Amino acid sequence: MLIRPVSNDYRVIGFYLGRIFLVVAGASLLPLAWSAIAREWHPFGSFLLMIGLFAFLGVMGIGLDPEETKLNWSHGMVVVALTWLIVPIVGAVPLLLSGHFAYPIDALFDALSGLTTTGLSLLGDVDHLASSLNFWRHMLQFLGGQGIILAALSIFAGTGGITLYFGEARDERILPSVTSTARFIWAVSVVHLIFGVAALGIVGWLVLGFDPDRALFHGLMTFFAGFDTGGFSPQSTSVGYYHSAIFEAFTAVLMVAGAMSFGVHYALWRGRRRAVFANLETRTIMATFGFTMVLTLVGLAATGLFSSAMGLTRQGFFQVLSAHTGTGFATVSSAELAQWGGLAFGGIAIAMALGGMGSSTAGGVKSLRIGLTIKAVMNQIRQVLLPEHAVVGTAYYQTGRKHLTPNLIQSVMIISLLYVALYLLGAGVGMAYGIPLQDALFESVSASANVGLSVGVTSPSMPFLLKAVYMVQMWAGRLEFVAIFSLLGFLYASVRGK
Amino acid sequence: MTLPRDKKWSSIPGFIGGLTLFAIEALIVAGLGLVAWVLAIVILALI
Repeated sequence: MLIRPVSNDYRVIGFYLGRIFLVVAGASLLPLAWSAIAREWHPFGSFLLMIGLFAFLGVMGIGLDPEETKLNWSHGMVVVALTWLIVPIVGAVPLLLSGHFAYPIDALFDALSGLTTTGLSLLGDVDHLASSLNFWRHMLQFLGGQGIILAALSIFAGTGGITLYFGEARDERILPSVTSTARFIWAVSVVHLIFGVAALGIVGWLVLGFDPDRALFHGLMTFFAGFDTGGFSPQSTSVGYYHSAIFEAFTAVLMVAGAMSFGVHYALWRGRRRAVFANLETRTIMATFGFTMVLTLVGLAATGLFSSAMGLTRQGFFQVLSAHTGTGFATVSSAELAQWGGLAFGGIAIAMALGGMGSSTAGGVKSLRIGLTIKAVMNQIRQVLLPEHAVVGTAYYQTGRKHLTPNLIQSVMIISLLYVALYLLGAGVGMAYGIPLQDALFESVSASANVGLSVGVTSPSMPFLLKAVYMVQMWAGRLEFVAIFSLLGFLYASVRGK
Repeated sequence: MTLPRDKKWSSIPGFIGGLTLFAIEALIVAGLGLVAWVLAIVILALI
């Protein structure tokens, strides 16, 4: 039996949502300033309207003024689930008013895809979108990747901070206090912003021959989408637009950094390289990356599309890395990707489904869960093969020595199975609309694991229901289910609770 | 990797530390790329 929430529960949730909306309103001043500097007055008006809406919702939420402001677990989860629903709705306003979307749901799809760091898009003619709107799309990925919650935590560090932090699917506290963890994550982001944008900007300027301001713009957009494993691009042909191996290489660095657990970043930063390679997650992702890489290269070689090792490596490596890190950048078109077929297609789909490390901006099942599952299976096999009274070790290393408990394995298996169910849901709906199994599964995995690679299924002309299903997949995949179940439970308790 | 007590913000390395982190990640990507290139040579030779 669920307990019906009382008035203070709603007020606490509204109060924290209000705080987060005010943070987003503050962050939205950046695209507003951009549009003013670029003299893009139509988007300027749209951003003003959006900021007004965020500020209004924020003030309304703060105005609820609960008697007790401490967040419990359930409140935190509901706040997170609602944040990832309401921010895209309001954030879609400038996109909708741009005239680049055929239907309102398409603008919402893009805003949700941005905030969940997916990268699938229904935008028509991205190459001619106003620069400030492009900036806003990419900034949504930065907000979603770094976590609006983390930003709010940094500014409004309070008693409920840790609940919000975990609700956003970051389950690794790097430093003992959540505020210092949030600050560390921001520091890592600033490091990559400075060096990533500088590297890409210099390549754009000196190698590609862009004007300095254009090189800076492309560097910044690629940083937002790469480090936050989002995958949006200011060009319809994604990273393939640049036709530059060196640009792809620096983009790959940002993708790897984005998919790396902040705990691993911390270990690297502190010079504890042995701890990095002893980490179960690092070992697992190295193994799965190698496996999917071999599958893809064999599949591509078999197609006969590539005769040179360099060409095969460049295309195969970039696509697998983009899929495994959950970024979704591509150097080949959707149509070409659809033609790869067979093992190459399978290798990329598996890489997308597995995803990056936990406590990173990547999506998917995550390498920690894969590693723990493999370890549990190995332990079961050892248990069977060894004498009856033999004790099988359960220790593993991940930010310290830990033990594989039955409860841990149970939660790992439940979340992993939910991901598989989510992958199948979208594939089933796609097939019901006549999309071939292979394409339907690929696109469904891409949406659920917040990747963004596409074989062409995602388009403004796809059925309304399929758009809605992909949106649910992006939302559920980003929050790793728990926050969403908490929201559903909260709503049920509001109606049927005692 | 978790510290026994809360380290302060000032303990985070500055410009050189950040540059080192970025350089290490670039080396990791270069290493992965090199492995992929060797794999591609072997695969093309076998197929």
